[in-house]
Amino acid sequence: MAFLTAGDRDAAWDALITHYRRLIFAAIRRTTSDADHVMDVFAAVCETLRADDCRRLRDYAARARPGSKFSTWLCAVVHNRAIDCLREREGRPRPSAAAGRMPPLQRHIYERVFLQQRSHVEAYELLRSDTFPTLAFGSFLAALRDVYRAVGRETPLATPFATRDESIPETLSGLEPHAGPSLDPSVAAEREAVLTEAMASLPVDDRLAVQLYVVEGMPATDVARAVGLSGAKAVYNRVYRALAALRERLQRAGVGAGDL
Amino acid sequence: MTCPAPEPLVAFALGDGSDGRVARHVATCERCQGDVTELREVAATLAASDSADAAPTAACLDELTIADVVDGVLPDARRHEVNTHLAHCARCRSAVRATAALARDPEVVGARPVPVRHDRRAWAVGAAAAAAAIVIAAVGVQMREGGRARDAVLREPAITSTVAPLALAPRGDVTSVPRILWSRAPGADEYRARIQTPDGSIVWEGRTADTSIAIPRTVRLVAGQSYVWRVEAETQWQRWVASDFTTFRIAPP
Repeated sequence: MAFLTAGDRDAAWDALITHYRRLIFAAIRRTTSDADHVMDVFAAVCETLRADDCRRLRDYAARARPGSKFSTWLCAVVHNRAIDCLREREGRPRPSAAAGRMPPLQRHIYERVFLQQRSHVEAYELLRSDTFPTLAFGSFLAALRDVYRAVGRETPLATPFATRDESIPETLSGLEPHAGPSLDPSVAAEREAVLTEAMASLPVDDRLAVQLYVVEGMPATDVARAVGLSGAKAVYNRVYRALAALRERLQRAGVGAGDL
Repeated sequence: MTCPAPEPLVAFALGDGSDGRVARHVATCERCQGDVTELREVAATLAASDSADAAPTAACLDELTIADVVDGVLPDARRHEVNTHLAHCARCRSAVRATAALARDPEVVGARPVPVRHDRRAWAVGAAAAAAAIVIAAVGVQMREGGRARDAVLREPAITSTVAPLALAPRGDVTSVPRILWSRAPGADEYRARIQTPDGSIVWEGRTADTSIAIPRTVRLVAGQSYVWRVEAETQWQRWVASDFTTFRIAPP
């Protein structure tokens, strides 16, 4: 970060961008494949970094800890700006539009879970038995999470489209929706409350390990580093204990995980 | 028959399932099959209940803290506070996941960094530093087209490779544009340059065998308006390689 003390800030800025622009572009392209949007995000990242006489960069130089990587910080900045730009451009995702843009695995999950009303584990087994024979459960979880995020979590757990929503397509790839039993929204809300309470009962580190490993789909070694655990084995151990505790608590509340 | 310990069972049930020994055991052990199913049911329920689409709050982690979490350099004194926030904030967890994924992505990691080629002595003396700054500024920020990364290097490229010309000037705010300038593309015997408005309307096109071309006075570029331009080099018969788009603006008087 010696450039920040250089006399010619403009020249130093150009040197910085020349040095890191490939990383920035590569990181942006992981967020969007739209060439126009890539340029918009790049401009936004540059604007963010240059604002207030490079305040963020100076802040980084002042606060960076030993062992921290400038490139990691830059990735965090790029991600945040990319998300902001996407929201500015497209607003909140609409379920119908989101479903139409899903990659193949997510579309199949959407069909099995949302249209055919299958349970999650059942949907996974069905996908493995036909379309995706080598599908790992970890990949399924990540795609499942993205499907729920894409449709905006407007619907209750496990019976996602129990209440008809005009904005959601009735068919996807020609599939007719299954007229499955509807779940009373108040019952669904109660079950979600039980799950939230069960999660809240876990120690913070265990809860975070579960969230990062199970929900976010991060590799166990990354989770260990982020949470401050000794290694992947510690993450697996915490996750095992935490999920067992969650299941027990849910069952005590009269909710089987398969019901959720 | 000994059942696997919780650690490999979790890795098998929720990870990539690539541990052959655990897989073979689970296939023949009803108890472990039940464990795997239960783990997956609870995990899927959690994955389905998560939402990162929350508005940021004042308590949300800044990018430096996110990076510290990803790099594992958060001091113990802050660990509990940060972990507690992360446990409650889907938005920040999502940022941690995305940043970690980018930071270990070979495409991103492999893309860094581009060595900045400059003469160290030049930075020590004013005039030379200014010259170096002009060159670096001329290379500057590369615009992209078609999502293909390309290095900006300050040396003559190998004659055997197809290298696009580099748009040098104008870029950024300028008072006037009497001519445009680019770097030579190896093997090119003709160039065609085009100036257009950001919405794609062509303002002017010209051809030359040189690496610069004068803009006719009849081309009216409006003050305050931004334009983009690029140059294409004909490196072989009917084969053109284009520079990135570069933006400039005629500064208001």
